[in-house]
Amino acid sequence: MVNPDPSVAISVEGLRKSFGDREVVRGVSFSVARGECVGLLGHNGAGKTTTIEILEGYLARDGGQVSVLGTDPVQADAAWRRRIGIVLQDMEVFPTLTVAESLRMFADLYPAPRAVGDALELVDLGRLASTRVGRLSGGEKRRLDVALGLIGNPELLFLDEPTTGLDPSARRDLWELVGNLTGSGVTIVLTTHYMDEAQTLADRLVILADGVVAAEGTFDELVERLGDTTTISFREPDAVRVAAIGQHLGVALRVDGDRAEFSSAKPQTDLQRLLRWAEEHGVGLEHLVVQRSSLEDLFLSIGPDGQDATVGATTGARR
Amino acid sequence: MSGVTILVSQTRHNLVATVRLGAAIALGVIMPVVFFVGAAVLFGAEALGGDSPVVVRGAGETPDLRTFYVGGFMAYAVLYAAFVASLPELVDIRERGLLKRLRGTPLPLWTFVAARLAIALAVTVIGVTAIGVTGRLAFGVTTSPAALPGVIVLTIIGTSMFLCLSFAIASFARSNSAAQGMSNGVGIVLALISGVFFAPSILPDAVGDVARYLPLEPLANSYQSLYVTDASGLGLDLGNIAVLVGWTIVAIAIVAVRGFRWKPFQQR
Repeated sequence: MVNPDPSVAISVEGLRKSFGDREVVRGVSFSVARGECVGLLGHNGAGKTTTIEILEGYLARDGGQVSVLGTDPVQADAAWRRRIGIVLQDMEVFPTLTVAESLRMFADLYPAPRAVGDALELVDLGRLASTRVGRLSGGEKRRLDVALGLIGNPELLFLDEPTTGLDPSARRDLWELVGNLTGSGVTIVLTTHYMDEAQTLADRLVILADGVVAAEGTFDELVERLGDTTTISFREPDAVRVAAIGQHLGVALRVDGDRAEFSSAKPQTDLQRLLRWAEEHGVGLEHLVVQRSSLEDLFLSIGPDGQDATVGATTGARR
Repeated sequence: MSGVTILVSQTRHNLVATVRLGAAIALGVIMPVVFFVGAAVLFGAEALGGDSPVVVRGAGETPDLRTFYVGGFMAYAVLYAAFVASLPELVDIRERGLLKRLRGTPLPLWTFVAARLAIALAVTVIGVTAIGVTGRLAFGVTTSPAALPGVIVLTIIGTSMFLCLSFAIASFARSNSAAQGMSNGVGIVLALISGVFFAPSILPDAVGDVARYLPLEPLANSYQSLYVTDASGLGLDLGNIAVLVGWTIVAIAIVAVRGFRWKPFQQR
């Protein structure tokens, strides 16, 4: 299928793939607009890697329609591959080549590559240009992988767990880089296990569970479907006081160790009532935390089999 | 980028990586020279009958054992550079995900294969030359200058054959360790029964009869034939060449039927 709509970078309809008797992708459908960053999330075994590898042209599908930059990846040729960049989850170039030599080796495959020096600066590896790859740390190798994915100036970039092994500072730098790339029009498909990363980088999220799309939308849309609740928690080791607070607020408090928490649909009102009660009873609420539902809550609410979803999960396609 | 430009770049970078890794040079150049010198010194001495003529199948006699060793260890150098060193390296870059990553680039398939062949040829040419020069300088073993084209053609055919066998067997090797075991095991057995360390006449007839249809003996026999006193021109035995080409075709057929594996074995 060739997608006639130039504003669509990726179109997936009813995608299916089996390995032996096991169907690991069971009718997945979603689309990615040009210039958009879409996060593909899911538990281990949800079908993320299989879906991504079909989009990258590594795997042939068993059913459904796929168009990536207007081309069916099964029929991908060199001209199509010049337009995409790939950052694999596990890959190591020759350990005996230097960082700059590795980038040059890949740059020579493309008609209009980035300058090696520019690519090095993008991932902050300029000072290690002459270092052999085998001597890099895990995080430095990961940054080199990202630079190799960018060296061909791709229109579409697949990022598979790009920040695994990076320290917090390097993660933030890479987030900034990804933000700049989408800002310059590069389309990005991101898979990650870091929910804060997906929340920060992705314009839209596609959550897979057991080979189907369990949820799809922007972060705000998904959180709204989850029930936009806020969790209020504090340290309170006295079980009697916990029960009294619950009675006063009219909610059931959950106790975890010496912490108590409850979910609130009206956090401002409930917080005021809680603070007033504490003041009237001369109780100090230590380690008070007010937190909106996170992507992690959403992710955890969708079980590996997609059955426990509380966000209106569908079994199959949704656009 | 044109295919030729990509080929040049791939060859250059892969060659630098291979040379720095050191295995190909150690196995394909240093070891053959050391073994050749050791064998020629230990067994090629007059007192041990090393100056006796050695019969080369289908070609005649070399004047002594040292001359016989030159041709044998040239073939050994080709075997170890293009197969014993190449196979684990090929599996290693596959298992570390590099082949899969390259498959996701515009790299034309033929440039990848041609680059691997160019690298193998670079090492085998050095190894064969080192054996020939060492034989001449250290032991006075010479052949007619007219035999040089034959040496070149044999080196190209032998390298191509063993590299194709590397690609074929790589599709069965699940790890670098397995590939090293396979390549070393095959290499040692072939070297022992193919007229490299011993003249075929001291082996049982049945072993010799089988060996002449395996990949190494016809190559060793062809190199040795070029060192028989009256060798000239290409001096190539068509029967030997047919066996070498036959193994090349078998290897290509295995790759065609089984498919060359770009992804690591643990991945689907």
